[in-house]
Amino acid sequence: MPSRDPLACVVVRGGDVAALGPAIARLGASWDSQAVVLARLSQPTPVSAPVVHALVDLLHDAGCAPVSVGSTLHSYDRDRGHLSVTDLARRAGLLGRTPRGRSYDVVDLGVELLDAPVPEASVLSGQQVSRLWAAAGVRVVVGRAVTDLVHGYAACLATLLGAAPEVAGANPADVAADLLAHLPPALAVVDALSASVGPDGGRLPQPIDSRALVVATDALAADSACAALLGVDRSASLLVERSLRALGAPSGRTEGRLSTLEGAHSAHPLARSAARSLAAEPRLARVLSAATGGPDDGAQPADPVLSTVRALLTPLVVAADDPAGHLPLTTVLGGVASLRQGTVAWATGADKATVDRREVPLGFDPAAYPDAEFDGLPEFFAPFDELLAGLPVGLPDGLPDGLSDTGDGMRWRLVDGATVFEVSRHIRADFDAFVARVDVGAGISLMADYLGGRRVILADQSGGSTTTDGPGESGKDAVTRTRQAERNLYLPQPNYLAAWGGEPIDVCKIELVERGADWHRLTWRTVSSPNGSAEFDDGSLTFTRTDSWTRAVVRGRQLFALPTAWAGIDLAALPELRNPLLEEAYRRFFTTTFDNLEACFEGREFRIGRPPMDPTEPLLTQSLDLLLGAVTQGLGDPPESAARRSGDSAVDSAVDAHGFRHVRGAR
Amino acid sequence: MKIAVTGATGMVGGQVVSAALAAGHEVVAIARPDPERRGNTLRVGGHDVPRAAAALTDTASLTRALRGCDGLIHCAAVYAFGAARAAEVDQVNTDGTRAVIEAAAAAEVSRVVVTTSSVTCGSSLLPRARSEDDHLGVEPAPAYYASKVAQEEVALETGQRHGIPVVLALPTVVLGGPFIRLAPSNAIVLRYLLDPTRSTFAGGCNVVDARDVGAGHIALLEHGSPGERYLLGGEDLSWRMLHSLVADLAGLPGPFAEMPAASAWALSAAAEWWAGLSDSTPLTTREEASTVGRFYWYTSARAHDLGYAARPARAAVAASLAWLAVSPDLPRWAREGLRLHPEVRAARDLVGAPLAAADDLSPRPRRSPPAWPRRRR
Repeated sequence: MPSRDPLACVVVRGGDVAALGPAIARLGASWDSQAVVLARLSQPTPVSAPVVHALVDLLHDAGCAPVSVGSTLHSYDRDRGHLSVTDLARRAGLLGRTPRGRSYDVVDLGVELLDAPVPEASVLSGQQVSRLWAAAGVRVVVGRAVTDLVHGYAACLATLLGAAPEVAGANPADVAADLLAHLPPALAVVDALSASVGPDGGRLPQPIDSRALVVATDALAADSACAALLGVDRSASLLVERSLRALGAPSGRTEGRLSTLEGAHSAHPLARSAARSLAAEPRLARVLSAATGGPDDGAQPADPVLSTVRALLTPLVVAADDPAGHLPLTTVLGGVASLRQGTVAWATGADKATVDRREVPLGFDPAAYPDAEFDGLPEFFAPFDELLAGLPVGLPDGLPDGLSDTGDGMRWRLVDGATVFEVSRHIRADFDAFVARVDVGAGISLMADYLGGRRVILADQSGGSTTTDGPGESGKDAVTRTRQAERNLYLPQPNYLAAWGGEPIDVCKIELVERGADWHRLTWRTVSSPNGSAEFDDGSLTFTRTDSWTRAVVRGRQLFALPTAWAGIDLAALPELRNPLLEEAYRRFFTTTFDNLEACFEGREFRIGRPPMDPTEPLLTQSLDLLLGAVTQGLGDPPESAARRSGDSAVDSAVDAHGFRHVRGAR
Repeated sequence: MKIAVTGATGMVGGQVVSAALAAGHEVVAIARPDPERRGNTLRVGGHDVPRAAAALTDTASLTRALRGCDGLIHCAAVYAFGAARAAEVDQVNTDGTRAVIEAAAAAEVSRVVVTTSSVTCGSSLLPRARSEDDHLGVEPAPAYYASKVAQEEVALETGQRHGIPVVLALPTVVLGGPFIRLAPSNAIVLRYLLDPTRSTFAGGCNVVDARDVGAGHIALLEHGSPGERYLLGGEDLSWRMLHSLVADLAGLPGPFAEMPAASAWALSAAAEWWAGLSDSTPLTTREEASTVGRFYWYTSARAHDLGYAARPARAAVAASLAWLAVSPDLPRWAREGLRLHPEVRAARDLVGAPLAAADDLSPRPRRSPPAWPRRRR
């Protein structure tokens, strides 16, 4: 029985660019305002000029004016030696006029930016996007069907990233999902007239005469169809997988034949997995991307280190086209990824200042939870409060008089496999002074090992916070309540699990903040864990006025996933091992958390990590080249650059992301 | 009494200021000129005190700064070991002291207390407490020790020459805070926290809490006899006893083996070599290691007669740990491994940060500054 869903995607096989108009017409779309075409310009596999020109002609015919074509220069392009969008467009054959004589502007979408018109929950909140893209009446994205070593394939979503500058610390998949959600294209086109296939068709072109086009009103539908044409699971692409999770599967039906294109093939899953593991470190991801294939036509010369890495890596990627040939590539990439994992484990345990902080979206829709769910959080946690109230507190023995209430007492029990615990500290600060400086609502971000996250304060149905009678004995304790939603990331707990591949704890929570005259409390419940790192992470943080100080209490119910390497160990059967490990892990975490609260009160720096990699910073290989040059000079070599030694003049003419030429002066 | 204090940004000077204020005195902090520091006050121990800028080598500026003061407590000094800073130590501790006392005399200050060190009383191979009647002998003595002996001579000679009463304060190993730069005294505690072998040494020292030393200086200014030396100490401890206290209060094991002096010297050499490579300050030096095996034990009976009192060594160590725990000198990995005793948490009062705008309350992690060449219309 034919589907009654509206048509969302058309796949044209065996045709040429002339098929574009009829395909668009079948989608029934109509436009008549300013149009921006965001096209894949990345070398060496940009979109074909005839497709873009046909599209521009169609837009003009539909009444769109002006029509602009462009993209944003990202680190991918800069790292491969390309310094301008205009130059990339020219190399792609986009010169501002179609063969039919229709003119269009070639634009760098990254030049004029505005604050992203997105909700606070978005990873783009507080970031900037292309003004042209945001303001366009008609937004069109044109990708090209290419395979990708890390993502399996790339099409429209990868191209859509050109609508905004790269966001430091954010996963491009989150950025793509939010662009798709809040600034989506009206039309998505995949140029598969000559798909580029192989282990990494985007960087090592292997064009096939595929004669296909995909046209859709939904970029996700277009990419899904492209994945089918290339014979890849659509979720092999992290961009698509994340968007599917955030937005759901595309609605509407796809018309046309989705069988795999003849000759289409991509990287072996093992090689892809190794590449993905390596690319989890953004600096290495850039090197991998820049060192595969090339040098591109017209690109600036690479630094000597990059040239060397390229000379070693590219043959491996080329060889991976063979069914068994992927093994050397997998081994090399896996080896580097293992080294990366080792450095991450070291940083997690011993050098937390070098861990990159993260930028993430909220990760869920808080509107899906009615107000009653938020307001009922204290009642939800009440049974655990009662359980904990009946347990003894563990404090150091033999404390002098007056000091027993300064210890970080801990009590805990296991419930359904989860640890239900309470830790507390009397903080030597007046309650009013303390809560004036330490916001309990931000309590999650003040905890130990906090890597980053997002907190969104939700408007009440009546338009703000509610004020109600609280649990004061007299009933006169006015309490303000604020609902908020939060996603937070912590280092793996305990930290040593990082050495066994433990992932950061990543949890999404609904929260209720209550503030009374003598107590402030944050209560939270985990609603999801995007990376499956936690089954339970519920709890409360309370600041209470005591005679002269402030008592901070954390209660919680936690059950975190163990890394695969630990899956075979049944810790529950070994309480002699589990209990001290558990107590030590909690003691460390919450001692540091309380220390953080005190540091926040005193205005001292306490957070771990460093700002994430700036996408405009030089490629890792450039830094290595400078280091090698300095070492060589230090060893007494004449002050000539590594470039000269290798017979390459790259460094002498190295130009940075801003177009400045760097030269090394005589010393 | 209006009291001028040099070195008020240091650990001892800061505690002197706090003690002076607590005793009801008016205080002026003499600080070296600092173009980055604005305003005429200095924040010391939660108090804003008037600040006068003057370099220790600038007698004219010092005289102007001291004009109108009744007393002067000269705490400014360089407290460091190692050949790299030997010249600086000598210049600041002796020439600086001479200039300060001359300026005090010119400004008609009526009494001066100069902070020297207990090391000028020397040390023993046997566990015997020394007094003000003892002097540094022929034992191994770092340049810092010699500079302190010279400082005492210069202080007394200059005071006598200008007819200004000078009292010498000889603190022992001062532990606690607050401090901006890690001094060798607190570094003793820090070294144990960072020592994976949890080892100890032969010999011992006398430790005193910085707060007691601050109060002791005020007692000397008020009641000390001119030309006299007063030891300001606390408890005499062997290194093993001191390290045991650190271990107990920090929740660490040990101490275990007692390392010979040669090992300490070798480790110090390695520390200096690494510091040279990394362009940092060594946590210990060969000069300092040369004192291992001796007893730096002292009696403060003379100061006790003036009302001076010191709290137990355990409290001094707790204060040191409390300040180290919030100091960048203690790496995060080491701090997270501590299980600080409640006495440590009680040893330091929390001081609330100045209230900021509401937007800055518990701010989110800072984003990296935009490096993108952005242009807004």
